[in-house]
Amino acid sequence: MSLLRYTVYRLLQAIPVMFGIAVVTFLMVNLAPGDPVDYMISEELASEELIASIEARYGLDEPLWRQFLNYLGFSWFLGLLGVPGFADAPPGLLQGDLGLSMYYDRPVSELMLTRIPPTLMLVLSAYAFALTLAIPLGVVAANRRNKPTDHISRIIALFGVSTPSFWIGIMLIVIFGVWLGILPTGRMVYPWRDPAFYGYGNHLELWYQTLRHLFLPVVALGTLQMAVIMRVERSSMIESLQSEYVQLARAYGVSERTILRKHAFRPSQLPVITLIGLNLTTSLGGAVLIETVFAINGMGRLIVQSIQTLDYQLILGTTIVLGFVFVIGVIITDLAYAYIDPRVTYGEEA
Amino acid sequence: MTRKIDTDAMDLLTRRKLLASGVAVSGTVLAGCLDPADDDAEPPEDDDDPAADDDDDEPADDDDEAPSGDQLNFTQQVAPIEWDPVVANDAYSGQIYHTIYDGLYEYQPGDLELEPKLAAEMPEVENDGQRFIVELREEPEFHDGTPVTAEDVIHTFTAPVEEETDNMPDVDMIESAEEIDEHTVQFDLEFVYAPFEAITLPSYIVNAEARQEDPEAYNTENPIGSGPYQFVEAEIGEFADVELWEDYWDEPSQVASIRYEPAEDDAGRVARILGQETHLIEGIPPADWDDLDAEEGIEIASVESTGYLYFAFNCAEGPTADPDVRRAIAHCHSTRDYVEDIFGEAAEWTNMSVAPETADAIGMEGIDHFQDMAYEFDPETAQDLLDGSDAIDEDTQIDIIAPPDDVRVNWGELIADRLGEIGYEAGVQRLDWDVFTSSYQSGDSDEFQLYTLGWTGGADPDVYYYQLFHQDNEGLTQGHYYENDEFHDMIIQARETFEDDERAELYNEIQEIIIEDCVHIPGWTDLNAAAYLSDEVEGLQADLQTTTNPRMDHPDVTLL
Repeated sequence: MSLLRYTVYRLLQAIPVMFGIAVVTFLMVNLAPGDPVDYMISEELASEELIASIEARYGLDEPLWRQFLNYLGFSWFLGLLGVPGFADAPPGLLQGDLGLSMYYDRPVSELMLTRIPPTLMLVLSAYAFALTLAIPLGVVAANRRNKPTDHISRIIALFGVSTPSFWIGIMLIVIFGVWLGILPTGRMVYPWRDPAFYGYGNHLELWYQTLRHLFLPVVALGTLQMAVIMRVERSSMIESLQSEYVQLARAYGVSERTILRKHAFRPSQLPVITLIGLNLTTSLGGAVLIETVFAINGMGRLIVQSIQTLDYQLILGTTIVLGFVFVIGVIITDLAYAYIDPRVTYGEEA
Repeated sequence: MTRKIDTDAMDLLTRRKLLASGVAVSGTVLAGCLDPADDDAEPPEDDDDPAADDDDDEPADDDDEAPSGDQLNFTQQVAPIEWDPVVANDAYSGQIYHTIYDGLYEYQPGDLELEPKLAAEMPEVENDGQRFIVELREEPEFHDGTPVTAEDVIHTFTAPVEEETDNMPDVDMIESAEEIDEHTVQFDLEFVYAPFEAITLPSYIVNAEARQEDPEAYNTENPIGSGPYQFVEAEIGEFADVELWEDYWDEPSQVASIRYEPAEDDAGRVARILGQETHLIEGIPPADWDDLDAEEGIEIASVESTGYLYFAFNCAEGPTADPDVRRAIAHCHSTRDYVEDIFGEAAEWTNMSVAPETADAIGMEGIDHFQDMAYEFDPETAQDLLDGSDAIDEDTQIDIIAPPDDVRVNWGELIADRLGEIGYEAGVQRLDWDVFTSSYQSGDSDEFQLYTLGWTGGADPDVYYYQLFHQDNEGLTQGHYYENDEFHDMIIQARETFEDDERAELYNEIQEIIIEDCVHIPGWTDLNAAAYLSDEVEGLQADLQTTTNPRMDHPDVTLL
């Protein structure tokens, strides 16, 4: 099977998984106790007419099975086929419509599109931070096992994996933002905006400020990833350095530098790559807290707000999209794994 | 089939470059992100960087969105979402659109004194309080240059019902709104509604033509009012910009533009003002109040809000249907001590079910009068009352429900602990808002015996007493289901009586019944406040209602 066919095969396999995610999410959100209209009118003036009006506006007056068909977009198809009762059915998930946010009164897809770039910028920067520190530190720690460098690296890793990222974020804000006053305490400066929007004179200043605003949230979010990757990198490198082929290379008199560079490093990266792919959603989970602490207007904050306001459509939309991201992350990991490791097959033979 | 990888080529590409680029990127990021104030860091190339002029003693990151120039930066605790007063009903959107629109009438900053704004004078009242005639000023114009007319006023007051927006209950007592002439409107009400002048008429007037042309755009992109500021641009959750409208018909504000930015996290919001990255924040966490107040260069403007926090009993079913049980629960703890311990300066204990300022506005008895009627902390009396009641025994569990708010949950825990100390069981459930709301609305004693809620209130006692106590609102805004025909009649009589003196007497009696029958345990009125950089902002005034707190439309607000 070629890489292309394998890719198509994995994508096709993902379709029922994604459908399952949509179904389970819909049922979980709708079968949970509580009523979003109750939330909307809590501590506000309300009347029976207003409640009925809100329910009708968001389709909550329909039976659950009908809401389910509407949300997935089946009703729209049934309307096309002329099935009675579905003539004016709205488009749904299958037509790319994620519905109308009850709290923001705007399309969910529109809200998400504005929130994805900040989150991507944050998560990718955090990954870049994590990788640029974790891989060199992991390699050095493995190469100098049980020496002071290794001990320090392990202490850093232990701190990273055992400290909640939001706490790191708050501490960084207090130290660098409030006490020292050398870095901003929150919010983000986006490099794609006009510098004049922030009152900057040119793009250089804009980019500089983007880096300054990005630094603390990236450290807060990336520390956990850095620690996890460093631990895996170190143990994987140690395993490689103890393998028979490395011992054989040593027996042949190959220098330690060459062994480290040519023979141990490459095979040690497979677990790291797997980890990176699978941790993508963990990072998105971390972004929920970091975006809240640093007031960054990303997907994470949107998810928090959707839950706090019991915005059904928004909870559904964000959860389903994150589920899809996870599935796609797994597929990319599989493909990268198959591409890098010659021992991995595309499924036809051992 | 397996695939081979050219390992030699990969090696050349990865290791050395990866390590080298890692070091380089890390170094660049670390160096680049440090403030120029740091001697070891390279300053940005641009000589115009305002940060370069910073005094080293200044802790601020004042070269980004920080206070500078003519723009005032306002950090909100919740992101605003829409800009059309016909549709919007959240306080944080109001903090912005109160600068874009003028009201027909407006309250003076910091109190509930009503003054004409777009109206030429106070309304003419006819037909025993069922007809209001409002004459408009002729000079006000909208931001698009069109005059404010009777048509705009009529549209503002009728659209919520026609479009069934969330603001429908605010105006659904209006039977008709008619244009007498281009600058005069006549409102006829379905019934005498005494709070009409204080509550309904101070609405923000929208531009009928612009709004009807494209209601959605009007709400999200292009709101057109007649206020001192005009809308520029907004991105939900990120920012909203307004700028001074130079042709404003009334005394103009002095701040050229305002950028509103939300920061929901309490710590993050406080850090922003401590780091001097914003001119002002609203929503000061009680725990940070004293620290902010003591901080040099930061001042807090505050005023008692119209909000009201309370515990309500299930008066219809279960053990708390017995008034003595309710009184015992009120006696077994001290709400006054709890409020003083938790809030300090940030809230005031009250024994009224209405905000003191609102009560004062119509001449009700003051806060002291009703504080004297409070159930003092007296565990012995509490125990005697409980022991003497047939509605409760020591095996009865008192269920207390609270929404997800630590302060209210802790108040419930205090009551439960105190009941435990005198031998009666009680437990507190912290519920999500939706579950909580449906539980308290049910009035079912299997769900609760006490619930705690808040009410944003307003400028007239009817907003409290009718909404929170009258039987019309059972299962909606009240879940205590308190039965007392005389009491409910008095509430209706008060809302349909036009004379303030008579109303005040009625409300005094109503309040006394609430205390005597212990329908509510009143809690506190919190302060509306804003912390601001006193070296940079002057003339800032807190306001009673969150929607207008602080009053950014006021001409006294100045950036120094």
